This record gives sequence, structure tokens and C-alpha cells, in this order.
Amino acid sequence: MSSTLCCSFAKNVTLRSSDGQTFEVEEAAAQVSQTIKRMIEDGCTGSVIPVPNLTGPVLALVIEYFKKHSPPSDGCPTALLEMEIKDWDAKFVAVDNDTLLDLTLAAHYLEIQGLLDLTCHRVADILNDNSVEKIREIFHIKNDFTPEEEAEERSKIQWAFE
Amino acid sequence: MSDFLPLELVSEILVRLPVKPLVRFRCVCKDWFSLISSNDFINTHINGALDGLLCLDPFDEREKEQSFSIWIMKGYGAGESWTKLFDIHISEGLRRVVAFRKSCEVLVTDRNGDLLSYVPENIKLVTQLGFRQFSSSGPKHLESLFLWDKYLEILNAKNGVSGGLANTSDSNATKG
Repeated sequence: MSSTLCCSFAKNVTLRSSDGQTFEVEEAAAQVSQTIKRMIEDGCTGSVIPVPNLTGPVLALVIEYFKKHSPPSDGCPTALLEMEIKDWDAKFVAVDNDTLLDLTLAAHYLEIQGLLDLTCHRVADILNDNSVEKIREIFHIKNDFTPEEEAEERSKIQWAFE
Repeated sequence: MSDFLPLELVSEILVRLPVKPLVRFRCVCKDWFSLISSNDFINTHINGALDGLLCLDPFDEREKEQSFSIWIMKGYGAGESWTKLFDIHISEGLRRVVAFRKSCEVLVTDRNGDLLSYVPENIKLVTQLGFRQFSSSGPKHLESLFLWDKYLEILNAKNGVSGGLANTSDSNATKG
């Protein structure tokens, strides 16, 4: 705690993914994640911070998000900057479904509310017009209804399939 | 990594969807079925509006005695729990139901389009609010997951009331 008081210039922390890749990132940027913020406050800054739920490629993406969303050093974000970030966000989640779900999980584990909202919205948009079969494919879900059970349930809510 | 999304995260995603795909997605698997059918999920989905109760205001213009009836569905998905709360008679000069207020009053418009506050327990207490409803866009509908497909059966079984259907209000009287 005392070390954060004496030097306010950019300090870095090192994050390590589940597969052992390490990434250096500014402490202020990493604190976009509430989970990492707590770890830093608990004094984990001296060593490497493990992020066991994320693989290297996903952690690399999350760090891109950190950098874009770290609080600006010169105070308030301008409207222009906010618009630019919004555009950037939209492009950031225009990825394949598996990567999108990985990012959603990462936002959940690392408690990054902005990224969680962003990814959940994007996933919901994708789901909206899709069939039940496609949803199972996207989420890698095994259908545990018997064919009879599923047919019965579908017959009750036919209007939702029209 | 994405082979497994915790259900709370699935819930976080699904709660952003409209009703129709949600009902469809109950067929995805048993976990999703339970999640989407759960009271917690439904309440989060409709965000506590109307204290979680679906309301209807069927309106029958064919009858001489025109009236609105306000119905609520007391139990989720339980068709037999449809209960008529009260009638609003057109003879009061009321034209249509616009919205429900938290204070249990009902906002209605009269034939001139003036907004009135109607207190169901005391049908004489109709307060002029001094506003006019600008109704080009019509009243707002709030989709909820409470099943309404049983509604017509139940209503027809009870007294054959026809009319539109919505949970805060209905656009069936907009032709004037």
C-alpha cells in the first residue's frame, strides 16, 4: 500500500495466463478489472499476478481492452473520446463465437463490468434470431431432453417457433 | 474454455432477450428450461414492473355496456390464476387505459383525450390531471415472460370477452 503513495507515475504489473504466458501492463489499466484491483490492493504487485482462468490469447485480448478503457491520465474523458471507444468496443467484440464466449467468461472472472455488458449484449444479439439447434452448437450444449420430451415442450409453445 | 458457461452467466445473457426467443430457448436443455422458467429469472427479466404481475385490459366494443376489465395472472404460467380485479365502465366517459401507477391508480383517457387518474376502489374518484395524452405512438407495451397463451382460453371459458391484450395497457381503442 505504501509503495502506491510514493510514486504516482506509471507502474507496471505482470499478469500470467493459465498456459504460462506473461504480459506486462500498466497497473492503472489492469485495475479496470475489479478482481485484479483487489489483488493489487492486497499487495500482489511485487510478484506476478496469476490469471488461471484465461489462456494467453484471451488474456492478450483482455489487456487490449484494459488499455483502451484505462482512466485517462488528464482527467475527464471527452465526448469524442467516448464515441471513439464505443466504436472500438463494437469492433472488439466482432469476433468468432468461441472467442466471444471466452471474452464473456473472462469479463465474468475478472469482474470487468463494462466488458461483461458489452459481450453479453453481443451474445444476446447473436442468439436472438437463432434456432434451438444453433444455440446448442454455439454454447456446446448437449441436449438432455428425450425426443418425446422435446416434442411435447415444442408443441406447447408452437407460437414461439413461428 | 468456452465449453462451459456458468448458469449465472447464461442468465446474464438471456435476460437481455425478448420473450419469443426466450420461450423457444427453453427447449435447449433442461438447465436452460429451469433457468428461464424460474421466478427469479422472470422477475429480473421484467424488472419488477407491476410487481411481477401480468395485467390485461380486454375491451369489448361490440357490447352496448362498454367496459374495460383489468385482469392479473397471480401465479406464473398458471392459467387458472387469472383473476379479474375490477371493471372500468365506459359510461364514466373513459376511453382507454394508458398505464398503471405505483399507487394502484390507473391512468385513463376520456373521450377528449384528457388524462385522468382512476382509483379502482372508489369508482367515483376520477381526478383530472390537466394533461392531454399525445398518443400518436400509443401506450407502451412491456413484454414479459408470463405466459399469456392460456389467457384467451380462460377468458373465453369465463365470459367470452374479446379484446386486445397487453400487460400495462392496450392499443385496442386507438381508432378514435
